[in-house]
Amino acid sequence: METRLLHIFRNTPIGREVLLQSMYFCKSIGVHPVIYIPEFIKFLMYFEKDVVQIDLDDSYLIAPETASAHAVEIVRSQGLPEPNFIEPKNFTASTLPDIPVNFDFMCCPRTISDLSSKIGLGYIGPRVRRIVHSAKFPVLIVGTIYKPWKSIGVMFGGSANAINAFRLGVRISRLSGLPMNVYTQLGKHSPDYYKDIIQKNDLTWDMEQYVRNWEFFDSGEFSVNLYKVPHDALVVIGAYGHGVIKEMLFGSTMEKVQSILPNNLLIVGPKYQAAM
Amino acid sequence: MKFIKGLNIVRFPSRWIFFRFDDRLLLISIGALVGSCSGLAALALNRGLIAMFEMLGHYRHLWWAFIMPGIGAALSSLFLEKIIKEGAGHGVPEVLYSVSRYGGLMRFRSSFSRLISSCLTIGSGGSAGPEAPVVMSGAAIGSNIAQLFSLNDRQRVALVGCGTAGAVAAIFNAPIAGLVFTIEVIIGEWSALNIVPIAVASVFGAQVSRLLQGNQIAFTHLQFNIDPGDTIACLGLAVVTALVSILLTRALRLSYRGARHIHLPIWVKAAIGGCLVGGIGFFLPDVLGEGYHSIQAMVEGTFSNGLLFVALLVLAKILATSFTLGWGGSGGIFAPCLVIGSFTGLMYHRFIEMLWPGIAWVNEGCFALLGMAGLISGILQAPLTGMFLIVEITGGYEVILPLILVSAISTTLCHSFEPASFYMKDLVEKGHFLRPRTDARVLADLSVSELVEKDCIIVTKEMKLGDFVKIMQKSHRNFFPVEDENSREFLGLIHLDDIREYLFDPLFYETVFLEQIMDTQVRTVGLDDDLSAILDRMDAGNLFSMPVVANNQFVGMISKATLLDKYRNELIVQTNH
Amino acid sequence: MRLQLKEMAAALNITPNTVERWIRQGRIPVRIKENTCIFSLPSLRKWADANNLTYTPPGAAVLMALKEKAENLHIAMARGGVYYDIEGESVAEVIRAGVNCITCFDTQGQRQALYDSLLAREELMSTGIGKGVAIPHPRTPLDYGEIPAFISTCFLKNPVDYQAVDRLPVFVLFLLVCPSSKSHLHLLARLSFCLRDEEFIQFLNQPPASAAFFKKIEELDQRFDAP
Repeated sequence: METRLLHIFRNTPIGREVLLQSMYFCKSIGVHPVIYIPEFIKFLMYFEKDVVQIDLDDSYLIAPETASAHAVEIVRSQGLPEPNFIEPKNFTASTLPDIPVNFDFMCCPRTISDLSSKIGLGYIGPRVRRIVHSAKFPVLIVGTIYKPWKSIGVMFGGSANAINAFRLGVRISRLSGLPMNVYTQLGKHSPDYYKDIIQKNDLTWDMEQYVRNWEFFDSGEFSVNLYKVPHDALVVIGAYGHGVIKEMLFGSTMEKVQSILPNNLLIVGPKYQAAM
Repeated sequence: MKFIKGLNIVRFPSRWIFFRFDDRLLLISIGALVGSCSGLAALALNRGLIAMFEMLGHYRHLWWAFIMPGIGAALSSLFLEKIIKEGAGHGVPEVLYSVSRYGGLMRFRSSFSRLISSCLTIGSGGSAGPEAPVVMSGAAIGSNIAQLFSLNDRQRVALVGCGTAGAVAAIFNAPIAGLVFTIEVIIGEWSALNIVPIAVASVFGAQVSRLLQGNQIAFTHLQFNIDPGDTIACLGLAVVTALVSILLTRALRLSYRGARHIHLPIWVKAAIGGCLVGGIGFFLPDVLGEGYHSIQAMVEGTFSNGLLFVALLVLAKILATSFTLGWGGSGGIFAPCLVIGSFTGLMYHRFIEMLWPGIAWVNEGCFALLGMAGLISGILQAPLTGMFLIVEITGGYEVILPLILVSAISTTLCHSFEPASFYMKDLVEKGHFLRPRTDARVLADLSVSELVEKDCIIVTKEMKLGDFVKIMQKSHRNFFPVEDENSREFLGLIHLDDIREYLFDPLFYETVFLEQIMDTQVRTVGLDDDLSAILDRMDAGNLFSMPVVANNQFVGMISKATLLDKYRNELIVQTNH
Repeated sequence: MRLQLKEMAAALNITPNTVERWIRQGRIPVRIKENTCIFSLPSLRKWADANNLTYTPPGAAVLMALKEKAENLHIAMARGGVYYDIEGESVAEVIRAGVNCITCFDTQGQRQALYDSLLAREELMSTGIGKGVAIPHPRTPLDYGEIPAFISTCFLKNPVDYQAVDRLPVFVLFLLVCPSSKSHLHLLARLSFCLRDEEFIQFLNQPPASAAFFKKIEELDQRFDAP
C-alpha cells in the first residue's frame, strides 16, 4: 500500500521552505503528501496511548484564502501530483479538530507551537518532542532553508531504536538511490561489538549493499566528531531508545546531534513501527 | 541501572505476572488511587467555592454587584482559551466523546482547567454547577493515570469511570450515586468488569470527602409521612418537571445558538452573559451561584414566598443558567437542575394547596425533593441517577416510592420530546455517540483496511478477452479491476455477471479488449471512509461489493459477505468479557 | 510465547490491523512490543474458543496446504494400485472383478457398497468415455472415513462392450472413488487431461508395467500443473 506523509502547512515564506523540503523528501522516496491547512489555532492528535494537543503559532493561520493555492503550487513545482488535503472529520470541541495519525511520515519544523523566530539549533519544541515520543511514524525535522540532500547519514549507537533507524536509512537509500553512511561513536565497545549487533539482526547484507562507509569515531568528543557528517546529508537517528529516565541521567545522542548538526533530521521515536 | 529497571517495573504494572492475564485486581487497586485523587480534586473545588463566596459575600448588596458574575465569567473564559488553551465545553460531553472515540484518552490539562475556570464562574455568582467540571477533572485524572501506567483502552475507560465516580461520590458524599451516574451516563455498559473498580473508586472518593469534611449529608434528613394521596399527586409533578426540563434544554440550546451568531471575542460574550445573570440576581439573589442554600431552605420548608414568586424564580433560574453556560461561562448543569427542580416542586406544592386547600398534603420539602429528582432524570434522561442521588443526599428512604414514579415518568416524557439527553445531543447529531455493544460501536471500530480483500487479480485495459478467460479460470472472484499498465491508475471494473453471455463465444476472444467491456461508472470507496457511510452507499446502489481505491490505485474489494463475517466476530469479541 | 504480529494474525485468521486494534483496546490477552506479540498459549486458546475464533499454530497451516497440494493424480493412483488381466464378459462382471482387486478396503461390506453404487451409476449412463476407456465411479461420493481418494487402474483381459459413447469396446477401467465431490472433480479434471493425449492412449493400449505407468502419470501431472 502507498505511503503517506502528513504536512502541516504554514502560508509564510518559512512555511514555503519547509514544504519544499518535505516535498523533496516525498519525491525522492515516492511518498504521497497529505497536507493540513489549519483552520483553528490548535488541534489534537490521538496516538495509541497518548493524546497530544498542538497549539500552533499564530503564523499558521495567516492568509487562509491563498494557502491551498500556494501549497498546490509548491507541490507541483517539485513534480509531484496533486496533494490530498485533510478536512478534519472529528472535533473534540467545536474549535478543536482531531487530526488522524495513520501516516507513514510527518514533517515538522523544529517548533510548531512557538514563534518561528525561536527556530534554531539545539531547540526542538515541546510539541514536536511529544509527537516524536508518541508517534508510530518517524518525524522529518527540516531546517529553515530548502536544501536537497545528496546522501543519507545514519547515527548508529547499537540500541533497538538505532536498529530501526538503520533499517529506515536503508529503505530511504534504496528508494532514493542516494548513498548511505553510518556513524558510530565508539565508547567502551570495539567496532566488532557493533558489527555483531548488525549481524544478529540479519542486516549484514544491507550493510554491504547500501552503506558506502561505516565511520567509527574512536577518539575525541562525539560533538566534535559530528563535523565529519557532510553538510548535505539527511541524518536518520533514533530517539529515546533507552527510555526517558536513562536519557535524563546519561544524556541523549539525539539531543547532541540536533544541537550541533543543522542538517535535516529524520527522527525515529520509541513507538516507531516499520510499515508492513 | 537497577534503579532504572525498578522504575520501569513500577511504570508497567500490567506486565507483572500477577496481573498479566487477569487485570481485575490491577484495575481495583489503580481505581482506588484514581477515586481518591479525583475525590481530592472535587474537594478542592468545593473549598475554592466556599472561599470565593465568603470573599465576595460582602459586596453582594452593592449596586455594582451585577458586574461580578460578568467579570468572573470573562476571567474564566479567558483562562480556558488563552492560558490553558482548552477548546471550551461543559465537560461531560467531552468525556463521553473521548470514551466513545478514543478509548478515554484525555489531555492532562483537562484534569485541572475546569476546576479553576468553574470556580471563577460560580464563585462570582454565575448560575452553574460544580459537578460537570469535577466529573471532567476526575475523568482526566483517571485517563492520565492510565496513560502513566501504559494501560489499554478497556482498562483506561474503566479508570475514566473510576475518576468520574470518585468525583461525584466526593462532591455529594454519595457513593452509590457516583457509581450509578458513571455507569448510566458515562460508560453505558453494565458489566462486572467495569462496575467493580468503579464501585471501589466511589467508596474511596466518598471516604476522602468524609475524612476531610466530615460525614455530612448535603441536606438535613427530615421525616416525611407520605400518604397514597401524595403519591398520586406526584404524577402531576412528574408532568410538570418534564415540561420544565424540556424548557430548560430548549432555553440552553437557544442561548448557545444565539451566542454563536454574535461575533465578539469569547470573553466579551462571557462578560455580557455574566452581567445579565448578575442583573437578574440583583433582584432575585436565589438564582446566583450553585444555589444549594436555597435548596436547603426549601427542603426544610422555610422558604416562605408565594406561588407566583416561585414560578418567577423557576423562569429566572432557567434564564440565568442559559446565560451563564450558553455565553461562555464554565460549569455544569447538575446543580442548576437541582435548584430548578426544587423550585418546581415547591411551585407545584403551592399550586395543589391552592386547588384543594382542605387536604393535608405532605410537607412542601418533600415535593422539592421529588422535583429535583424529576428534573435530573428529565435532563440527563438517567432515571437511576436521579433516584439514588436524591435518596443519598437527603439521607432518607421514605420518599422512594413517589421518587421512582416521578423519575420514571419524567424521563419517559422528556425522551419523547428530546430523544437524546442534554449531554448526548451534540454527540448523537455528529455520530460520535458510540455506546458499547451497539451497531454504531462495532462499525466505528472496524476499518476499511481490516475488511478489504486483496485476492483480486488485476488486469490491464489492453488485454484481449481470450487471455482474460484464461486468467478468470484461476480466480475465485467475480470482480476484476482494470488498471492502466503504466500509471497503475484504476480505470474500471469487470463484473462476470455483465459479460457472462460473451464468455463462451470464441469469436469475441481475439476481437474484444477489456477496455471495451469494463464498467467505468463504478462507485468506489476510500480507505478512510466510515463503514456506516459505505453501507449506506451499498444499500442505496443495491451493491454487494465495492472496490477500494486510494489515490487512483486499486487496493482491493470490500464486500457485504466479509463484512458480516468480521462484524459478527467483532460483536462477539466486544460483548464477550 | 512470542510471535510476530503477522504470524499472530495468520494464526487467528484475521488481519494484522485487527490484531493490533484488539491489543490496543484490550480485547485479547496479548501484549505487543515492537511488532512482537507476547502471550500465554493456554489463555489465548481459551480466549479464541470463547470468541468463535480458531488458533492454528504457525506451521500447521503450511503443512495443511502441503497436504492439500499433494493430492494429485499419481498419488491417488499409487494408492489405488494397478491390476492386470481382469476377467469378465459384461460390465457387471468386470466391475465386480475390479472391485475385488482393490486393497484399500478392509471389509466385504465396503466392497459390496461400492459395487452397488458403481452399478447404479452405470445404469444411469455408461461411464465409457470413448477410445476404449471407462471411468466407473460411484453415483454419489462415498465417504469411508479414513480412506482418502484413490484411483484403481484395471487393465481387462478381453475388451468388453461397455455401451461407450463411441461404441468401441473398453480395455481399461479407472475406478475413481473419492470422499467428496470436490476431490472427485479435481481428480477427474486431471484424468481427462491425460486421456485427451492420444499418445497416452497408445501407451495404455499395450498394458505398461506399473513402474512405467506411474512414471508416465507423474510426468503428465507436472504438465498439468505447469502454467
